[in-house]
Amino acid sequence: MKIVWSWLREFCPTERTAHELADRLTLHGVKVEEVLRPWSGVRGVVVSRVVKVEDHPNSQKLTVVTVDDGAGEHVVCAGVRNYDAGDLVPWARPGSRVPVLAEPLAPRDMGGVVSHGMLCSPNELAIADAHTGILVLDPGSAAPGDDLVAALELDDEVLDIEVEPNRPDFLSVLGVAREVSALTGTPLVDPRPPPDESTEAAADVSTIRIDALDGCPRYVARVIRGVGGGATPITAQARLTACGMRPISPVVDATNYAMLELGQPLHAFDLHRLEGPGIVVRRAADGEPLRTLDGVDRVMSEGDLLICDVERPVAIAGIMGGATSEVADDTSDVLLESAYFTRTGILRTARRLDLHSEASHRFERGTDPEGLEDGAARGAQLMAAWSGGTVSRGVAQDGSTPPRRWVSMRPQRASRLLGYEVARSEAEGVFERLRMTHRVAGDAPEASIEVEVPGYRVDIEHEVDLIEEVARLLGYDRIGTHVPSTGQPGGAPAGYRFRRRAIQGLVRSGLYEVRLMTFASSDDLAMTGDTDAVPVANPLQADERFLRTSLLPGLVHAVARNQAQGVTETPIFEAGTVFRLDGENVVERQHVAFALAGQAGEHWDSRVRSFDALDATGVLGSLMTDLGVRDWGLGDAPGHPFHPGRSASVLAAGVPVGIVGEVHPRVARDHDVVGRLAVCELILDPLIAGVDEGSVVVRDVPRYPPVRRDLAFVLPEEVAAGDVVAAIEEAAGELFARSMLFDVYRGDPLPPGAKSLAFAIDLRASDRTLTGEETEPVVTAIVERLRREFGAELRSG
Amino acid sequence: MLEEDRLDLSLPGRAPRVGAFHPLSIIEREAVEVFTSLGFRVVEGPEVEDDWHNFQALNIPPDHPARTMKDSLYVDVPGHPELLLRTETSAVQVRTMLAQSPPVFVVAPGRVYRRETSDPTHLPVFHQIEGLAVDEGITFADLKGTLEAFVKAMFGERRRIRLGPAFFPFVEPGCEVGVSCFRCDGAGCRVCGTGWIELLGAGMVHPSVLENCGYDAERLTGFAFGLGIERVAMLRYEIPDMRMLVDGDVRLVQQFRGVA
Repeated sequence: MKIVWSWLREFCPTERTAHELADRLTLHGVKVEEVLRPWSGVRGVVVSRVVKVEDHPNSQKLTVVTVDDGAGEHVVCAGVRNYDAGDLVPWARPGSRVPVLAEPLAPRDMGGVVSHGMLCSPNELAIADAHTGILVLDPGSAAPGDDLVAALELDDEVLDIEVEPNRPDFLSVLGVAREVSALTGTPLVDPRPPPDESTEAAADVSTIRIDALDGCPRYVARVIRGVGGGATPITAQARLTACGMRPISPVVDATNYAMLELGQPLHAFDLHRLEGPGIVVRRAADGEPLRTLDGVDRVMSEGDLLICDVERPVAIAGIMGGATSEVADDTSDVLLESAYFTRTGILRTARRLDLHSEASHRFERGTDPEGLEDGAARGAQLMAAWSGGTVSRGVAQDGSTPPRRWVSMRPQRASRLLGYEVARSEAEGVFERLRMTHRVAGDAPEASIEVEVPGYRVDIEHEVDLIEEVARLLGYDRIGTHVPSTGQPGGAPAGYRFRRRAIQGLVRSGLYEVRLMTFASSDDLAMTGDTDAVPVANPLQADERFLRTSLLPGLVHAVARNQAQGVTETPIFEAGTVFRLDGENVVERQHVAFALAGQAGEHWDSRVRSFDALDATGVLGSLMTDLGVRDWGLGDAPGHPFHPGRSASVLAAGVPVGIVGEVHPRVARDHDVVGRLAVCELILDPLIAGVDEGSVVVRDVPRYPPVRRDLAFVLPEEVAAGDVVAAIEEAAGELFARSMLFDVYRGDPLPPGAKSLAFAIDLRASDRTLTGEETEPVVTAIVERLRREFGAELRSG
Repeated sequence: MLEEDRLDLSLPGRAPRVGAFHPLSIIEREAVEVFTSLGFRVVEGPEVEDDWHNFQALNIPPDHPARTMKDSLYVDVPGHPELLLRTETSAVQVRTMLAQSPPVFVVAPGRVYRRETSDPTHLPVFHQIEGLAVDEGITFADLKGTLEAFVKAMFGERRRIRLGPAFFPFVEPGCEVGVSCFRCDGAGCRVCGTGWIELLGAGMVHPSVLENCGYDAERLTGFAFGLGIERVAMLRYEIPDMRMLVDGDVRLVQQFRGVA
């Protein structure tokens, strides 16, 4: 909400500037985002009197105007001719500045006539949107030579206030003025003159009947006659513009000005276009039509609140007027509505129709039920003043004003909550400054203070609301500092710690952690073959309308994006939540997944190589070690979308916990990934069960040297290396120390379909150095076992 | 002979591959550590929440204007129109109070969702850490003391905080906590503008919230606070565009190698 400072000072005549008070206001609950000076871009523009208006010799579109600035006469060319000799107009002379131009004004040849500066429209001066004519000042309102900004009182600051939902009273000049008064101690004044009233009684002109008191507890109307003429004063137009509203006509401007000033939305009906004339406030019937004043035909629902005349609907209550009884250029008499509508109903209707206005914005947040008469009086008075009309006596009305709430606050409770001693007198002082009537309940020292809540404070309902008033007016800087003792050691649950261990382990393995969005497309679901995804009802993007069931599609896309940017190695991982629908239940699980693509390390000294499935199994093995999971292994290939020959499921304690391996090359290619894509995804919770929590039990280090034998075997291609390793260990028996695969060879001189696996095998006894006599039989046993089980032949060794 | 054995040590050395934590993980871990060292426990909860835990329990009834502050993403589970992606981790605090007796000293880190289009300063998916302390005799001074300790541990001993009034439906009094800028120490600079950076929302837990969780609001008081992790990361590391945090670009994360 923009608050024009000079406007506020009409209600609270503080000597301070907005700039001086901005920080203090914010620290006491009025959040000032910025102090603006909307007319600071107007510099050196003066009031001038038009001396003569002539045709341009060479252009039909231009007019040559001679103006007098009090010091001399000057010639200016203008593109419009809406003024006459004697009128006062703004002249931006050479050297002056206007907001719409980047450079100062300078003399300019226009079609053979030198134009000195320019005459200004309201738009060019940031006074109003209108740019169809030169601004003509009210006669006698200023003298030629006067600085325009000073003459129009536009040398002004505007507070840009962030209005929070609990303080809708800040949506008005008066509301903010009350706070400035409470803060500075400058008393509030009421600058509003009461309207001059004719003898005709408004109550005799129109009937008012409320058939839906729960939606509209009270409705007040005034009558203004003879509103055909006049104009909205320029300063008022400038204020409306500064607040983001467009000046339209004196009648409409008066309603908006009064609303901005006092917070009470008003609506003007053309009295002669109201059947009756009378107002009926009722609920709509389902399907009831209404054309709003923006020309759109709307369909109402049961429960929507309507303003009707005695025959048909004429407005959607509190939101927008109807087309049939809107004020127009030919309107002569006005019925001015000033009503109180309950929040919930307005909110529902406005949301359903997606129709919002300055009025509905205020009703939704809560207006002052006690402000109807003041709002109507002010709106009527301005309307009459600006358009030449007369205000009929009194109001026509129905309904009643709800009684005020009384809320109590115990000073000791305030002290306990705030952590500093709040004396009862201090609290009373706060309520005094806030102009809230208060009394003490009884004589006891612990007696509560009972506070009468004014209608505009919709936020004060509970004791804590009063405590907040005390806290913010006394200042939050009174709050002390104390670190509470929690009486417990801090910590985190096992699942959280486990996830952190996984993340740390993967970082240690050289991967980069990413965080990706939770949404998935149907293509993503097809990638993993999942049919139980949780749909999003109102997705941000139509093609991402599910919650992810797996971390893999996100990583695949991330790899593709990185590669498109020229990144040559993309070892990335994510730990996050995936979602599935199990009947009616959303099941959330924590997963960790990684993807390896591109070059596996860039070093001038090492062979150029791409990541492949064995990098994934390597990282997986390190991860399992880091997590303390010992009982795990690989199982069958999981199928789509993985490479059938380079993938496996991962089992922990026999339970499937994920997959590892390369993505099927076609799937990778279809998703714009270049080259091999090795991945792994694990469910974390079942792994926690497999963690070996036992501490390390040290075994004595070997005291005797091993005997090392290098054995190379020729085997059929399809024999799994893991099986050979297991067989060697078994066959070696108790002298087995370790075996290390150090070469895998195919090709000449081996026949096709055969490969050679070479192992360095260490044999050792714990209590003696082994002799050849002891080791030979073991070697023979190994060779025999491999020959029997796999058809392996000793190649060398 | 040693001359022939010479090696140009300016060649790139052979180092094991080094990975990196995501900046959000770095910030979260640091923040969680500060709070656990103060005696708070980490609690977690579901990302798909229901309307009651996410709004109503927190004093945000169905037609309250505060609801429009949070345009939310809903999930489409037949028979359950009340399910949505949580807009704050405060729902976890509600669950915690429902599940245990006081005192409660917890922090809830986690992913939250708003129906916002992505732009340099907004994301529909982001991360928060919220904290809750409920006990007999918890005061606003306890809130300030806890947050001051946190801010100093996280951003440096010289940091100051200042509290200004602010509105959140689940606390009263509510406040926004500004931290003196860690780049200019409060003098004003291009990172902070005024010298102060608004970093947290906080306040004393509204009695209605305590009652909704079955706690005796007369005997117990509490404070709550919330911190946006992306915001801290963007300020501390001067990340120009929030979207960089969720697009998986290796070149962003690489810049955090060696940052614990």
